[in-house]
Amino acid sequence: MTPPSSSSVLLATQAMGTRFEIVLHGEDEGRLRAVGEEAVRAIEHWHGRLSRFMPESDVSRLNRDSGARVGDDLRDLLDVCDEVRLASRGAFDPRIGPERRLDLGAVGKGWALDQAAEIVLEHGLTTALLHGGGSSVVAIGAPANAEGWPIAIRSDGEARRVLLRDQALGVSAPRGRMDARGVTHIVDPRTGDAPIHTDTAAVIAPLGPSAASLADAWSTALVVLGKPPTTFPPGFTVHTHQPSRGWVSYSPHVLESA
Amino acid sequence: MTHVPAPFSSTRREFVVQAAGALTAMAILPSLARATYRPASPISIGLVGAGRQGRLILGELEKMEGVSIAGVCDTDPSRRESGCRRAAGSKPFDSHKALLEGLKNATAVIIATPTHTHKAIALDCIQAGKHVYCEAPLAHTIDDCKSIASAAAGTGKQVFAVGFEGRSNPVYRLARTFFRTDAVRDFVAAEAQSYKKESWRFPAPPGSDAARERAENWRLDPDLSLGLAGEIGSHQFDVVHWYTGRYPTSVFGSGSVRAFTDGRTLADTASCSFGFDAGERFNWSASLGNSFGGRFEVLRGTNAAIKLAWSLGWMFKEADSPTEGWEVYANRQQFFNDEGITLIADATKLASQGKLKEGVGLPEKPLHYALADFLSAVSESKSPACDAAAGAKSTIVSILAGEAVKKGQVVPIDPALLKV
Repeated sequence: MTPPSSSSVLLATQAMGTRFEIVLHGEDEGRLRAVGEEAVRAIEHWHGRLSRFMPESDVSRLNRDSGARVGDDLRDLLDVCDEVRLASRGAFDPRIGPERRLDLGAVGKGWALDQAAEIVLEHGLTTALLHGGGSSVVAIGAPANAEGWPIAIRSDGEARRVLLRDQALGVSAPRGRMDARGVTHIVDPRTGDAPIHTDTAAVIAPLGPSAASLADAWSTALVVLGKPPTTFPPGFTVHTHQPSRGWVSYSPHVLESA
Repeated sequence: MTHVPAPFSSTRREFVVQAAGALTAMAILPSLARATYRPASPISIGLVGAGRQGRLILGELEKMEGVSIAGVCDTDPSRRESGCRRAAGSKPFDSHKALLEGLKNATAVIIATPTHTHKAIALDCIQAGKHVYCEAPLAHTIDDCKSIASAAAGTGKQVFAVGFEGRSNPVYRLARTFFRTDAVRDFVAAEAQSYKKESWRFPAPPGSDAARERAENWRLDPDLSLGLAGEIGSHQFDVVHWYTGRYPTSVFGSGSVRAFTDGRTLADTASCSFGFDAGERFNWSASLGNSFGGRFEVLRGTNAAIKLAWSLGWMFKEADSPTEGWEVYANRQQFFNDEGITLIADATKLASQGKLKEGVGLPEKPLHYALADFLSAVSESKSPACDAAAGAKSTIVSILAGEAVKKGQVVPIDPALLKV
């Protein structure tokens, strides 16, 4: 159990079209703020590199010129995307449309949180909650007198409550009304069709270098797939909400066959 | 073909005339290549300082073909290692002297260390025959500025560039061409601000001692830091100097700690009012306690005002100023009761492609253009956008402004101090 901390700070920034918040617990408020600002700068830095709407971003440069030179750190993110694309058999794909334009919107928040979390951990902080838009979360340690950070994942009026401790969470849901051919910002990259199985998919990953990115990417894939395939990473947990069944959970040791 | 009347007589501009129905835009600058900069011949670079700014510099350099990072120097092992990891193939060095000794074939050195350390490194790099890009502000004392400028002036063909990024920013360069004509006309006043809520405190690694904490937070150290006026304001003061071609003769400053009650004594909120010899004033303010409005500069003339906000620029014309033909087709943006013409670098080419609105903003960060300008000066043996003399003068003005902020009074800016 985490001992009570004497200080906590909350920092926030607008990036990637949403609000990011970082909550840090610790002893020295000034130091917490300094670490938090470093983490916020990392989020803002990646916003500038991943935004499709900024002409100077790496994504925009790559979409203008596929041979444009980008840093190895961006290639690390593209490797994460490729890993999920292959394992999900194309249910997740960062390239969209007939022009195959790169769009990292489905994984960008998670990646930014991964970089921010790395900074928090590097500076020795053990209790923190970071999130982007409420749909990408990194939980480090747990607040005082608690087993984890309490998170409620809501879908269609029903909530699935989880406690996160040293874990990342990614939640994806199509926007607008959900029906057989409903309006949605998530489509099956293989067919172009709107997903019909799942209206919310939440993936929980153990904390690691790309945990939030993987959770984000897999949550998007699972909106399309409906349930995790046999190639789903071990140690990850899935909660899906389906219109006809409500919340369904898949833990690593009870994964169903594809 | 549709012809537009050409009221201008300036030989620096030409109207680009398009087919009927297409946009007509004024060609002000050579075509702004949308591709990332590439030097004419390969350049190898040693980077001194792998902290925050050093990492940003590496990020821009790694986009450029023909540029290699031969070595990364930092006194901190983890930053050094991180920098070398990022710049694959680079050698690590723990001092700038070791870097100069180990990279005798490197063409250039980039200095991205704390301001108060610039002089020693810059002088050694000049002595070693390297081309130098030194981050701004140039140094933390007037004497140090003059020493660097004097050493740089005596090198002949060696390039010494100072990182006042406004001078190489394509939007700022475009806007300056308007400023120096009847489009803006007589300089009336200027103002600038830089507001961003942040503590300026940086965390030292866990287990660091007090000396390490102090070193990490040199910007808050009243003995070392130039404060808001120097570290932030200097960049904006330089824009005004560059546009007007003039330097102020006095500065009144004030500042206080408003937002961060962590024991600091350096002002986290400051303002300066600069006076020019003909009575014009340039007012500047900054705070670490509030972000509204962000960072911008405004230069006012009797025909128009120009507003510059890093990657963006606008011209706000007076109702009674003459209208140029191209303005009919210009991209515009509404700001409450004012309408600004968006200043777009490479407007002609974009207009011919029907992509004028896509040209708002810059395809690369301002730092990229500053580095590209330096590398271009090196490979083409020409002067950089901001040389050591210009960089020294703007830094000296900011040092005096910082003094005014600390004292809360008027400090004269003796023109003799700006003879570098």
